Amino acid sequence: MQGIMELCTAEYTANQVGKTVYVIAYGKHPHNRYEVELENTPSPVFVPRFQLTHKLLTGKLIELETKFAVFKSFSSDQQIGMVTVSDADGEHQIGVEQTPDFQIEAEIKKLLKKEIRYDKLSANLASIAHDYEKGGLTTVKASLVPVTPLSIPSVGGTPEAIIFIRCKEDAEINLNGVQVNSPQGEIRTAKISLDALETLSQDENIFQLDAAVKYSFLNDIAAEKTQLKNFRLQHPDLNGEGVIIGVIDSGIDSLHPSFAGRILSIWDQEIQGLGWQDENSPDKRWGKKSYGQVLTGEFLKVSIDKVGHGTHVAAIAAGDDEEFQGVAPGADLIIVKTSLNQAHIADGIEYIFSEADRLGRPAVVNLSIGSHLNAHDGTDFLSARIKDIYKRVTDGKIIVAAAGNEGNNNIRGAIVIPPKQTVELEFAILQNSAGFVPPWALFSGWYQGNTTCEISVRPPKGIATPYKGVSDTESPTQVSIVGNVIITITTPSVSASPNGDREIQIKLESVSKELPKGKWEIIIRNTGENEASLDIWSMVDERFKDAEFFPAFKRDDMKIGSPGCTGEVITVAAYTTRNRWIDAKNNDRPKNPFNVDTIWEGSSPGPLRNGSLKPDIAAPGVMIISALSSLSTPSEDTLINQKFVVKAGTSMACPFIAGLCALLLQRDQTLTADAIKTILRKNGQIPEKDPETHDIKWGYGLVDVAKL
Amino acid sequence: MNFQKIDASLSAALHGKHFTDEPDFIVFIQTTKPLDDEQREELEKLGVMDIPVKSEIFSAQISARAVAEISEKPWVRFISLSEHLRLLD
Repeated sequence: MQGIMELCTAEYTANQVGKTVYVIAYGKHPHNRYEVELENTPSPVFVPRFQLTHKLLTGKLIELETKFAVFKSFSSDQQIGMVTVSDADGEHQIGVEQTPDFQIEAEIKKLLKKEIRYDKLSANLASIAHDYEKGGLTTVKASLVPVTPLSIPSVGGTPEAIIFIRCKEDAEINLNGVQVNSPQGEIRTAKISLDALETLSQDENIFQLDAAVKYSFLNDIAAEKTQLKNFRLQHPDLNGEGVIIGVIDSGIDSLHPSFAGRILSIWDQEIQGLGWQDENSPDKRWGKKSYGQVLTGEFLKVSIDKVGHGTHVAAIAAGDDEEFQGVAPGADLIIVKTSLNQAHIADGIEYIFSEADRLGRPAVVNLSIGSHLNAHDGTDFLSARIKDIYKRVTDGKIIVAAAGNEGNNNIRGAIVIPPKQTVELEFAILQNSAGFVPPWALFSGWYQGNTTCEISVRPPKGIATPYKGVSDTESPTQVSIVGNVIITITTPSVSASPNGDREIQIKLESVSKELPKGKWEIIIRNTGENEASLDIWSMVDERFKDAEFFPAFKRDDMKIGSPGCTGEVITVAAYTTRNRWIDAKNNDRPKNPFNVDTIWEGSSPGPLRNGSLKPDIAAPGVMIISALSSLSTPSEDTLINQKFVVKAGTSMACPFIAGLCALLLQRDQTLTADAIKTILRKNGQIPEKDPETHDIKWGYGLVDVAKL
Repeated sequence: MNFQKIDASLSAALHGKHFTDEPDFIVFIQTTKPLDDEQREELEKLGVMDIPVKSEIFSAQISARAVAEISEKPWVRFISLSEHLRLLD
């Protein structure tokens, strides 16, 4: 038939799995529609994508994008000579045979026994409609086509979808099962019942119907890359309902619609109040805290989030919004607005678990926070408090912590000091891009307890301080003033260290607001009989450039501080799913120098200082669009609209896993932290590595939610 | 003051300070075992409130003088300054 591509079939095998490809072409006549139908067998790792490239005899290439019987329409008056199919196994060229025209007509009639004008449907929407026509609700439920938002009723009813409608400017769309957002306009959005597609598509004033993929979850990329979308389609009943997600952070915008009705309480530690008390557990195991104020109900709005971090994090874990949906949109939230003091963070964990016990529900606590003023081995006191808390919990209590964002930062150094030797560890104080130098810098170092070292510090072009050695009887702190810098060296007794190692701490403070720039030296004299291997970390005010170790001393491991280094918590690395976005002023924000679809370069690497494996798992953390706190003032280039903002870091990856834990706990409330770690370990994947391989950046890899 | 039980941060924070009764220091206290009633009472007199039962590690907001006295208790193992953490974005 002139102008209609002929029906053809092709067969190929890939990876020893038989797949049959039927290529059905789309001709010039609008009622003719050919589909590519692929019978898939289960794929071990990913959802298969296939692209068909049709090469005309003239040499022109026409691409068909296919996925589960969905393809873009094209027209051609040439025969298909060769079809190229691409999948994860590579490209396969298939010769095709021609099918007589009468069979083409029969196929067309078969496809057109319903009235849906498929020629007006986008590929994704056509796929959903085709599945629904073929097998009804069950087929749509089983479909893995990621058309979202798609609402599938659990009992009765028809599936509903959010779609775009391209139509005449003044078209009247007034149909049963179709709720249009606007009475006019060439592009409108609508919520429709799939049963209404026939009538809608027949309307001559409607030109095109498109699934609202672009209007879907603003976290859509993250959900897709981790197979969360597929998980949702397979388990539409799992949304975190019945589980509490506790967020200890900068607070929350309780009026944000993403959280409507699901914030159970806020313990604001920063306002005057009576605190809280555990009165429900048999042994009152959670005790009481007499500071801050617990807010509920109409008083939730008394607590605010000016920083915006807590709101963003909470919505990643549990936001529920048509434009954005968190990982566990059915979970309830308990918020602790913290002072960020370690002790108060530990108190916050106890509050959340106390409330969870009172309500008889499982709980996950999210800690998107960290510090490097510790031994990076899980023996610091916040880690010790967390271990102590775990002695008191029952099943179904999980803590998730972020790994840290220092993957690219030169904040970690090391040096070996032979016995009876003196060495110099060099670092630099630098100015930031605005030309400012930090006013202070702090160093935390650890070495073996079976030797002793004396410490001195020399500023640029200055004289060195006296040595400070270890003393069990006198104050371990020495303060020296060199030029305009106060240099405090503290070398406490090994008895004061839970890990049996010796700690050193060095603080540099300028009296003139800026430390001297240039090369500094930490001079270490080993007075003992054994070799000392010093691990050291630097800290400065976040607004300034790090105090950086010279190349000979710089190390790129062991950058997971506390609480990420706590053994009992699930420590999360960040994976990059996006490096561009459109801001509120429609600016295409330039690419950050991040590689997409891999572990984020800035994610802090393990292992711990004692060799323990960390992080545990990776999740999307760069760049993540989530709820905006209305009282925060983010930079303009990160604003998406009045409700959403983009942020990046392991802070964003952590609540993804917290939400995931909520889904798992909804399914099995008895899961322990170890059990969940095992589940995540078995279902993480590092590209080109064997399953359950650990990496100091990836942990056990990017979580594949569909396998959970 | 028993410096063998004080960590670097707390030592540095205490250095040069007068031993007042102002509760300027948020600390972690680790004991050798869960406190008995008498020990609990001793700590409460020094300003340590809301001590959880059956726990060997807890936090308190206390004065420099209290830190010094608590460090001398034989059943106190460590006292550590509670630090500030950062948001990780």
